[in-house]
Amino acid sequence: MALKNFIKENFVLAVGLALPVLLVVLFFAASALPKSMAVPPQYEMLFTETRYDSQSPYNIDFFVKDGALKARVWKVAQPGAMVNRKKLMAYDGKTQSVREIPYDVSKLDNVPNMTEISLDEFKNMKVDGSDKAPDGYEFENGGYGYGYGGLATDIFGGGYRSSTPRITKGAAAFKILNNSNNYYGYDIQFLGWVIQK
Amino acid sequence: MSDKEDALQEIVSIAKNNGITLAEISKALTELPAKQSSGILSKLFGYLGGIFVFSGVCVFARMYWGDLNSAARVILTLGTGYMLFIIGLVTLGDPRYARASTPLFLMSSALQPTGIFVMLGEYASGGDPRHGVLFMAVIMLVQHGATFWVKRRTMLAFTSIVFGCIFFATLFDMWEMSDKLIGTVIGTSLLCIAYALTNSRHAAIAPFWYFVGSVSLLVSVFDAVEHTAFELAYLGIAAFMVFLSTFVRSRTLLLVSTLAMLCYIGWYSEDHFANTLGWPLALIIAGLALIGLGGMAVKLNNKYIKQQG
Repeated sequence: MALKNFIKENFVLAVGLALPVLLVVLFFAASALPKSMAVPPQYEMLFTETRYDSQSPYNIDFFVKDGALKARVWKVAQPGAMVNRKKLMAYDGKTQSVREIPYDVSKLDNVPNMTEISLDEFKNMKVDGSDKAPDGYEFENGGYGYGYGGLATDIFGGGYRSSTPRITKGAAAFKILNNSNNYYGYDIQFLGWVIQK
Repeated sequence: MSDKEDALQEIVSIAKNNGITLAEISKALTELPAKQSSGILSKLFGYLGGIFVFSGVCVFARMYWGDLNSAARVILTLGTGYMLFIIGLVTLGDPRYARASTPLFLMSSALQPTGIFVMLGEYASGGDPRHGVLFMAVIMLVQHGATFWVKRRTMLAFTSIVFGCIFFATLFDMWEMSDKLIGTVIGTSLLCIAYALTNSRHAAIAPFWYFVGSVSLLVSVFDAVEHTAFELAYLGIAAFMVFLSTFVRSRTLLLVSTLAMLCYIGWYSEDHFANTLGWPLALIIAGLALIGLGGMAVKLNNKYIKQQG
């Protein structure tokens, strides 16, 4: 009763206080509900992220060709020099977790630069390189860092903008977080969907 | 109405908002002039003293920061801030020191969030930094909001709104909502809150929130409609806010909305006519429009805001 009287006497104030709360409720209705009702992604998503590394003798770049995961390799000019090494990752929508898929390039011997190879670890893997997975999910890349985030967030929230990579289907969206529960950076590179491991 | 009548209207409005009786006004009229000079002096020394204390703490922290361990850093910032807040609360209980509460709360509002960030920096690791901002905003909002609810101090109303805005802006930012939507919602919300403040004993802070709310709303709306079919709607919204300023009797809102219209007209003419032969003509028309709008703003202020405010 007291609340009803307060709202009646301070209607404009109540509207002002309720607006952000209403946005929170609408956000949940528009994002959390579709996600909870949707069937999770059935196929693991393969992607690479870049890591600085001085141990790798080869630079490597992954790509999907004819339904298989291939790699293009070239030797590091100076052994021990820092290179951008690609880490191969897989996002599992069912568990909403990311795992690293290890591979070994040390056993490659005298491979000419820019050679396309199939690493032994991925010989039996079948990958769909299309943007849309067979179950209808799509990958959306994001960016991360400081930048213009609108006046309100610049004044009150520091303008710390990010757009997390995610896979979406309709209104359902699954954010891709790393194992430390952080968002991935802008260097994430989509490869495809794992049809067969 | 004359200036005298305007002043009387203002006195009535202040008396109503603060629950001041006729007898109290009569008493103050006879007693206040005698107290005025000492009041100003004590206020001046109070603020100067507060600035010195605050500067001293900051300089001390800066000088010895590298030598302090984690706990000492937290105690120096968060501990000092919290103690200032407690002292501020204590001063509210004694009318002799009640004036000191405002600078104490102000210093506390700067030191406590800093202290919370220092604590998180020293003892937490990893994760999204915005979680830390959210944590700080919740703690400060609860502390200041609850204290405002009991003590009804204008300073606490101000800080509660600040921390509320930080909380929601950070939350919406984390959820990756559209920055235009965030600005529009927070701007509209602040305008409503400012209107409520105008009609309360906290009217002193209403113009500031009218300013922040209207600028946030207008900039966000402009960002949303720029180069779309609805671009002219911005002009309509700015015009509506001019009308709103007369309704809520806010000079700040009138100033912001009039400037928004002027800026839009300038931007529109430059965007659409800059490289045409009609550009000089457009400039003349824009200039006339600016003069007209400026004159209209002054008229609206005199007719609807100044006389009724």
